[in-house]
Amino acid sequence: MGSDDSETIPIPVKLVIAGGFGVGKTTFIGSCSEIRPVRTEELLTTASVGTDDLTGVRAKTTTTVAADFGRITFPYSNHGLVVYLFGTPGQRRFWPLWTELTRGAIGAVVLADVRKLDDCFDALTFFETRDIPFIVAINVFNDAHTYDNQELRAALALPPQVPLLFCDARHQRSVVDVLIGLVEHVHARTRHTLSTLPLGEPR
Amino acid sequence: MRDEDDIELRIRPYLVTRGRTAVDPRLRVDSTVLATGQIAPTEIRAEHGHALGLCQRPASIAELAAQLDLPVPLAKVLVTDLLVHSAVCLRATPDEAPDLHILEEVLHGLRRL
Repeated sequence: MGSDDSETIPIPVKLVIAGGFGVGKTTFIGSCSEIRPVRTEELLTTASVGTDDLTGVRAKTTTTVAADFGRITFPYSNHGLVVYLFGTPGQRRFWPLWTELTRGAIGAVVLADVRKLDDCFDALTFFETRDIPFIVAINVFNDAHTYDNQELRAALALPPQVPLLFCDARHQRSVVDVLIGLVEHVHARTRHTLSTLPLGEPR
Repeated sequence: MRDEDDIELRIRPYLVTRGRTAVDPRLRVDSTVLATGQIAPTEIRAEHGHALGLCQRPASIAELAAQLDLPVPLAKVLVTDLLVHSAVCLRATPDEAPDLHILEEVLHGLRRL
């Protein structure tokens, strides 16, 4: 079905930016993307029970979920490498969308705001329960109280091996450092997993 | 002479032509497509022609959806049609996370930004 002659198309890789509403995902993506962030719509179909319906028949409702999209292209071999950045609200009801977005992804940045820390809890649960590599980045706003690393790690119940970084989503340098932090973390995890395979196991 | 009906692929949002709902199972929101040059955008109409025009450079389903102002599932239907007619070729994203080599290339790229 269709041709698959892909030698001239850049290799796509994917990073996901998760977090609560208003935490700065669009700003974060905008600071590193070579294109202005665009908004895509996914359709999410959920079953709901009508309260007035005596037969208890489940009606389906379709909602649209917006995801921010950005892109960074690197030269590599003949065709290049393109990093796609996806930002989606982390609330539990959007989890069906997350399954496709995270499939084959490098990993995720969970962006958090100290003023509304629990907004990121659903995203943390999603990645932890599926064992998807992620790091946490606290988006620092000027007027926010400063907390120390240990306080934040305790509030997020973050396992010791998960990196916690601080960033300013408005600045490219800061945002790129977070992306580097994520990819380094995934690289170390992948190396560790490979090194613990029994001898003779195919790599 | 190409039969117009072969490539008459007009659809409206929320309505799929000829009862077709099949989407190429390889397509993900981050799959990338590129026009093959076998069909020119001017040869086909409406959203398909517009989509093909956007594929003259590598484009992801996400970008196409956003630029066509369509939900992602409908963008996938359009791209499936274009794939079936060999108007575009596909670089599908794997289901597995990238290997160490690719991760290292991404790191090199990010550090050079």
